[in-house]
Amino acid sequence: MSNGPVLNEAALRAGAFKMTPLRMGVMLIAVGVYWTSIKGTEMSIQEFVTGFPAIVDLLRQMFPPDWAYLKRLGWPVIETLQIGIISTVVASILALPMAFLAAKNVSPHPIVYLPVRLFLTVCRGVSEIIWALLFVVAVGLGPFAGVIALIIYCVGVIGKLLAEAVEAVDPGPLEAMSAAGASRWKVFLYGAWPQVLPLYLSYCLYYWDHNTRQAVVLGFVGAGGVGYALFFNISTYYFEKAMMAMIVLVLMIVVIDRFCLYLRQKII
Amino acid sequence: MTIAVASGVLDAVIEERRVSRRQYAIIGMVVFAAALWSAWGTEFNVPKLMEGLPHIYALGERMLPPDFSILKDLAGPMIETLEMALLGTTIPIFFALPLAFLAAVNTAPNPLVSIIVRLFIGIFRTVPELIWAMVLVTAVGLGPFPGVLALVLHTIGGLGKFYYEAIESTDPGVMEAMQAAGASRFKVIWYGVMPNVLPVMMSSTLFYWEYNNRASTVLGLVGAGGIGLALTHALQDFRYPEVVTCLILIVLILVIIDRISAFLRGKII
Amino acid sequence: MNIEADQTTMVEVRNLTKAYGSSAPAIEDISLSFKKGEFIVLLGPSGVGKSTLLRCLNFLVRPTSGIVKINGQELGALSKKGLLQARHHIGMIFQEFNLVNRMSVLMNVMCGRLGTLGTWRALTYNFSPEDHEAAVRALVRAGLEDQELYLRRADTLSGGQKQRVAIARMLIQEPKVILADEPIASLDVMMRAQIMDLIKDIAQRDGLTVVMSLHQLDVAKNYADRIIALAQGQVTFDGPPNELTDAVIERVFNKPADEIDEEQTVEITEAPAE
Ligand SMILES: Nc1ncnc2c1ncn2[C@@H]1O[C@H](COP(=O)(O)OP(=O)(O)OP(=O)(O)O)[C@@H](O)[C@H]1O
Ligand SMILES: [Mg+2]
Repeated sequence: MSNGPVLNEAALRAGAFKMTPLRMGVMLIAVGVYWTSIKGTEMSIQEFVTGFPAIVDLLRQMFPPDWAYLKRLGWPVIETLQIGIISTVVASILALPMAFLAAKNVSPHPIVYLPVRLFLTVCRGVSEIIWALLFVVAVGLGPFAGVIALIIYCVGVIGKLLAEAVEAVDPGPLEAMSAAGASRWKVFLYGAWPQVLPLYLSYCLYYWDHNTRQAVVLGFVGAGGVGYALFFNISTYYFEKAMMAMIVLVLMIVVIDRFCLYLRQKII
Repeated sequence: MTIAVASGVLDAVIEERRVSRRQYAIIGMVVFAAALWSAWGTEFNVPKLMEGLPHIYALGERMLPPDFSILKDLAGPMIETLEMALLGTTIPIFFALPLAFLAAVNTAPNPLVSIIVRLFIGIFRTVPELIWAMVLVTAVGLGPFPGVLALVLHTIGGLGKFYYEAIESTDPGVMEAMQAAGASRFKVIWYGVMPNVLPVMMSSTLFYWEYNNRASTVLGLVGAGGIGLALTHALQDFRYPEVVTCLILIVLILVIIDRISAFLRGKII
Repeated sequence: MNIEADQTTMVEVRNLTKAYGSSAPAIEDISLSFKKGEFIVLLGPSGVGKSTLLRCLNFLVRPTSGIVKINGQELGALSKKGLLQARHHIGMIFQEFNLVNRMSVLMNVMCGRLGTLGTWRALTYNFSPEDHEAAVRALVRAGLEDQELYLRRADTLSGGQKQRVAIARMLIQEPKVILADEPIASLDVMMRAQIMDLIKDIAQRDGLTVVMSLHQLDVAKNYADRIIALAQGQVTFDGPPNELTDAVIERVFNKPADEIDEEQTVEITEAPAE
């Protein structure tokens, strides 16, 4: 069939851009916003030109990576993995009841559903790293504060996604089971849960990946792991070691990414 | 006859249940063991959290009431945060788009190019923006400039991957038809691929805009500008009422961004 | 079948009104009674309240006012638990089959027994061997003899097979009344006749009362003992199929009878859902 291109060209022409005053206004505003952004963030070619040699210089200092440092990274890698695992497991358990309370169609009452929604919004409202900063005050420096931070954020996100999944459940089977005389919880367990479960598992896997990445970043607030090694080495100008840590980090994330992809394909 | 059928099926059901039960048990045990091991390694313990609760309560007490008098001082950094996110999302488009066409197997000039470009996209994406920011701050000094660069680098990777996946999912029939009609490579891409992938690309760009707004609120932690800097200073000096004001502002802005993004996404689809 | 049994009232509805929210009532002041073994078809254009009436009969939709009695039991007077028990003896099938796609056929059928399933068994998804056997019997009765199908996921079946599974799920409840909301609307023409024959056959053998909403005039005339037409939430015709003359049809549907048939033909050529 050779009418593909014809069709597309015609479509393009039909949707050709027309300048209306409204569009003109929007575009002007966009250009204005853009201009102030460039000014405000001190972006300029000159900045780039002067900054570039410094970046190249830093890169040169990073090579060759310090391979001897590799064996000292074993423990930090394990710690990062552990932070990712425990926070995902706990968060996915805690997110379950939250999600059901926050889903309009199964939540017992709007009085429950609204505050839970608000709670979830606040949980994911700020980044993990900010939560970590706050919890360092409570439980001191170390991985635990990071784990709590990841849990809070992750409960917020999984809770919301799962609540949406529950709300999107096909109501037909639920109706059929109610009609057969099944009580509320049985209707949920048999009608809704099988529909939600695969989504739930795939969210958990996705956030495991995410949490491991974030565990690295949390090293910045002293949560340990590869992130801390990286942070420490950069701030003390051991750039070859930092480079080594960076390589390990990329490898670790790639491996987890692949593993999650594999598991997700198994579920669906 | 019915009963015979029933018992045959029943056996199959029982066997299936036995197998799946064993699978669940194994998976459950593996997850449980991993969690236990991780809890031990990260000093995760609930009693410690409970002990810490009074601290959190005290912290909460010192935070309230929020100090709204600093709001006008926060306006500048907040706007800077939004500006960083805007540039950090739009600049990468110009890099990610050509890279994506080089990376997608159906539009790459040859497989080797595709592999190499993918490798680069992968590296940009896997290094978190905060680490890019830290490295860049070390190289070029404090300020929003390294912050924007960090977002740009990470987003090139993220968008690049979204884009090439979108390109790879286009219907090969359309492209073949155009090639058969003698269209040049550029024309095939422009008329055959772009119209199909544009909505997906726009929606993933919106996703990264949201992501970058969130990310740019914390770039200040490593000195890369925005409201994160104000937040860090307030935290370091124990000015907790100001910390809360920052947090409230961040949550509000992010919720608004979320809404805007949802609205725009609705327009696309 | 003895004549006395046929005379017992199975379903009784008095002054039934249902209004959604504060809008005008979907059905208003309907009073009807259906006998044991009667095959009733509800007719009427879209939106007149056929589904609403059906759902009021098992209180899936709680009526605004009025009384519903099934087999002498007044649903409105029952406790929560009592209502669930009462529903267990009212089977229901739907246009979209309403199966759980990701569960096996057998599991879907056994869901008809959820009302009587013990708590622990329910929590562990563990139906008893008796339930399994009953499910197989129900499936065979619903015309699915091929046991290859039983452990397949429900979404791998064809539309007609799905509706048979839904019928089996209803049969396993051992219902006295069958409520059917446009059970053939998502099926192709061949399948429609088969499913209608199946329902009719089951109803006749077991002496079940069937209340079914339909869009197809010809099908209604073929199968119904009694046709009830609704318009604006009220009964405008109630009688045997042969009394449903073209004049009456015009009054009910607000357009000539032959046009309605045309519309049905168009609908039939639509691809069945999924
Ligand atoms: N859950 C609901 N909330 C509000 N209004 C409803 C609800 N369900 C039905 N209605 C309204 O009640 C009226 C009757 O609807 P009903 O579904 O009973 O009609 P129907 O005869 O089954 O139509 P159809 O042939 O299209 O299935 C309609 O006006 C409909 O909009
Ligand atoms: Mg209806």
